[in-house]
Amino acid sequence: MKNPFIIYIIQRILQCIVVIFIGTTVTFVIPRLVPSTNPVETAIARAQMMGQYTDPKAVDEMRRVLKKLYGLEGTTFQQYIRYWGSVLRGDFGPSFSSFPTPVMTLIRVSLSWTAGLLLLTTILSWIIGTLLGGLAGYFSEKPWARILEIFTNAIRPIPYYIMALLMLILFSYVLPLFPRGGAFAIGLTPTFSWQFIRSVIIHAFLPALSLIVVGIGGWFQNMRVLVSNVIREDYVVYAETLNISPQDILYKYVIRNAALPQLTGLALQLGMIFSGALITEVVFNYPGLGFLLYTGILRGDYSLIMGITFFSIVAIAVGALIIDLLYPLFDPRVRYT
Amino acid sequence: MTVLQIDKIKAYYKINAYGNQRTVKAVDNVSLEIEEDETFGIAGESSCGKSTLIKVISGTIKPPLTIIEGKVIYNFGDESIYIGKVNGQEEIGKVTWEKVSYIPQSSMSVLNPVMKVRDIFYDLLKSHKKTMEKEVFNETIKEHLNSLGLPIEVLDLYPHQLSGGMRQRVIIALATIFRPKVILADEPTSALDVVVQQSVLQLLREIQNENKNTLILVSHDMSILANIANRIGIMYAGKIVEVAKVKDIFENPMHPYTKFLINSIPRIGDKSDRLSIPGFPPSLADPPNGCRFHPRCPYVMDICKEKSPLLCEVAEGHNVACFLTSEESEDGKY
Amino acid sequence: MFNIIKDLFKFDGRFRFSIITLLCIILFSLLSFWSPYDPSSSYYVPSNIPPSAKYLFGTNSRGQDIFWMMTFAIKNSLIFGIITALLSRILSIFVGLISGYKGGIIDKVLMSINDSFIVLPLLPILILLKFIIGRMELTTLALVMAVFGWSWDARLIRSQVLSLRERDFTYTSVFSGMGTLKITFKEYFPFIIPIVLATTVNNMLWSLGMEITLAILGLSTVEIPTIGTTIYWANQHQALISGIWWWLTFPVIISIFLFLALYLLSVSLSEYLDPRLRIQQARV
Repeated sequence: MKNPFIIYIIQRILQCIVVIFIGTTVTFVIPRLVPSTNPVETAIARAQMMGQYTDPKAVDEMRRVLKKLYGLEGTTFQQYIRYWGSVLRGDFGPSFSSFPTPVMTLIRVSLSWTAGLLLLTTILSWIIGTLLGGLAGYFSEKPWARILEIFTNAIRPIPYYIMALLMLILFSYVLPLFPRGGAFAIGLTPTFSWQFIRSVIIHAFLPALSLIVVGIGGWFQNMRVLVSNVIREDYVVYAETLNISPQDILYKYVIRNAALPQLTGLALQLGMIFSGALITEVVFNYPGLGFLLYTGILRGDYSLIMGITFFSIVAIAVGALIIDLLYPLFDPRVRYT
Repeated sequence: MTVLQIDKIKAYYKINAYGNQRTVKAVDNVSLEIEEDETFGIAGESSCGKSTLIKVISGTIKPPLTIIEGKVIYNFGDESIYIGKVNGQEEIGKVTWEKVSYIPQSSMSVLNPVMKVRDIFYDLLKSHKKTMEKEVFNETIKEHLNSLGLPIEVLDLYPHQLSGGMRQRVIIALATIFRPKVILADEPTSALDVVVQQSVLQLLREIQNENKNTLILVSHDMSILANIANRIGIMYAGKIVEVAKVKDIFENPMHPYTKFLINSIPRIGDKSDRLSIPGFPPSLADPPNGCRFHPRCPYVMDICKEKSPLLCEVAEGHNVACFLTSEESEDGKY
Repeated sequence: MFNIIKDLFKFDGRFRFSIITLLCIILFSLLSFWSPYDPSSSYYVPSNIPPSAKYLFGTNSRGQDIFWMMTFAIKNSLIFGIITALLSRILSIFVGLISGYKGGIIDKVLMSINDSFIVLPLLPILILLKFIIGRMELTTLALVMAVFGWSWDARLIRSQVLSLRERDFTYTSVFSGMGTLKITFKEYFPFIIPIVLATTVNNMLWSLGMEITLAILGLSTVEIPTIGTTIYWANQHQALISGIWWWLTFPVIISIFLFLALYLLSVSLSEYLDPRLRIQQARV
């Protein structure tokens, strides 16, 4: 009676909720498991290290305010509920270092930079990596396929940070082709002028390149392995017996089927890619969420870091959900009985 | 007219990994002559090499499968296709679907799961009749499906939405749309229940009657072959051990293995115990010396352990490979 | 087992490369036991001297001999990676076995939790945790990483168990009254070992990468030399801009080799273990 399609959608939405739930709970529980953690004391110690004399009464007041700010008042259970309240409302309180700007405002500003970089590079690297991997898997004997395989094998294990650093060194120091960082040249104001857009593109080029290269390495390898399995499937061998043209077989039979688990893989890897983008931003001083996170660390801004963390959990969970919902478009087995 | 000639074909799987080499002698010195307008059955247990033989005949020879020696020749009067070794090089003639088609073993998974049935037909027609237009395509497909008793709605469905019997019928439709001269069917009914089996066999028989093509049917189920075949070849461990007309195989089996096979088929009214063959089928990577059946044969003689018997004519239209009936062995010595 | 290693060494170039590289790196880290300097001390040699015969990797701005510092750094990073990998094995084996064998609701629930861990964006979460918890021993960090690193491999083990479940010997065990835990751990374990090996290497890759990332952001206990903290200090002292390239270059190069070796090792191991791929590689 029940349409399997609707069941699928409900399952995916439930999974999204579970992800957010687990992420939030884990971040709540773990620090409380490790003894001797007290963010308030750490913050006060950090402030006191600045070397100024602090009146004990002022320190007490600070302690009280910080406790409230960090949501540490009340019993553990009350704190947990309050946690959830702020996550659901999207209100993470004011930023400690940019007081009284709300954390959410800061996030919103940085978000567009990260989103632009992330979306562009993820989609590009997935498509290019998948297509190339499909071709290389099908024509695995050809020399160009072998070369690509060795090349991506060498690239794939390089962590995002190191790749970003490499790009920076190569194309900013050794060959000064690109600017060292930032999102646009100093002094320009965000307008829709060609000058501004051009500046944005030049500045985004290296971080995007670094993300795309690492991404292609991974997707290429994955697809190659998937394709090497698919070409031995019954329906491919049968299609070849039918003398269907190799072009058709490559695109309609091999790649279309191998791309399905590849798409699921995209949903699962989203968290990793996001983390990679954040760290790349730090290397290039790119004013996205990553850089905001870094400044949060430097300035000891607990509420900012917390806000970014929860926001990321929700964003990634929803992103994975969107991809999961796109999947039935490509796999008819999920759409119909 | 002999439409398919298989001449001393040896096709092995050569597997080489990390320095270890294994050779699986799946088809070892097989010779057959198959006529037009006949239904030829190939019977044998699992992993006796039947599927490999079909692969060789249909020209689907990919590493690690290779032809060691021998040849396969199709003779269509105006045209012939050659598959075999020429000067040490494999030469695999283009076996086109218009002349030779194939009904595969596991219809469960041979249709592309992301394509509609209609699109699979399009791909097939496109690759063979490049000049046809869409309307002509559609008409051809519709007519063909009608003649097979398949509803046209099937075209807009995805493979997983079809039942097993429907899928098999679609596959038969794909195999017969060009009215080929030879149809190779590898266990076309083993995945179906008995009722559907019957209707699929019926369909194959009707097609054969109407088009007068050659149907080569591989099965491990003797009763199916009894139903539909004119002649039967019995295959064991990569070799053909007996070839005869259906009636002769069932009433007068001469090879010990065939005798066991026939005796194991239950008959209505007969309540005696069914005997099974002692022992296990041999591994094709390491087959026994001499006659491959000798470890399980109740009539084994000394010569059987050393030499392999040649398939030769023992009675009219009845060939047997056994030292009980003839003294010729495969290496030409007596 | 030695035959496997011999076979792989002879025929798989990647395996050869990775084993040799790993051995070199391990030997290098063992040198730390003969180090003439205490890793936590600083300013005991003249600063900022480029690589030369006396100071093989040069010295850094904190007056430390980079060569000897690297031996400690590699050793600590390796130990960290191994501990994390081992700890997360325990979780992944446990979850994978139970989930695959029991099936039903338990499987659904466990897998749902499992997938959540896979999807979670770890960097912000780890940063937050580090920030709250403050100074962490390397082992505590390893524990925390283990909590996040089991999910991918648990899934792999689960699919292996799913296929094992249908085999005859399972039914025999069940019918002779073996309990669930006993079946899963005693009977299935030998089959699981190859996957566990391949994923251990993968896991090390991942945890080492994370350690470097966290250290670079300044969140590690920066007194303990690891690959990550070395890069951190180099950045703190603006190594690139000051032209002290050797401070950054050596950790980066060594870590690239380490990562490459681990990756190729895991790839060649998993190819060797996949029976289908083995046959596909047949040359006629």
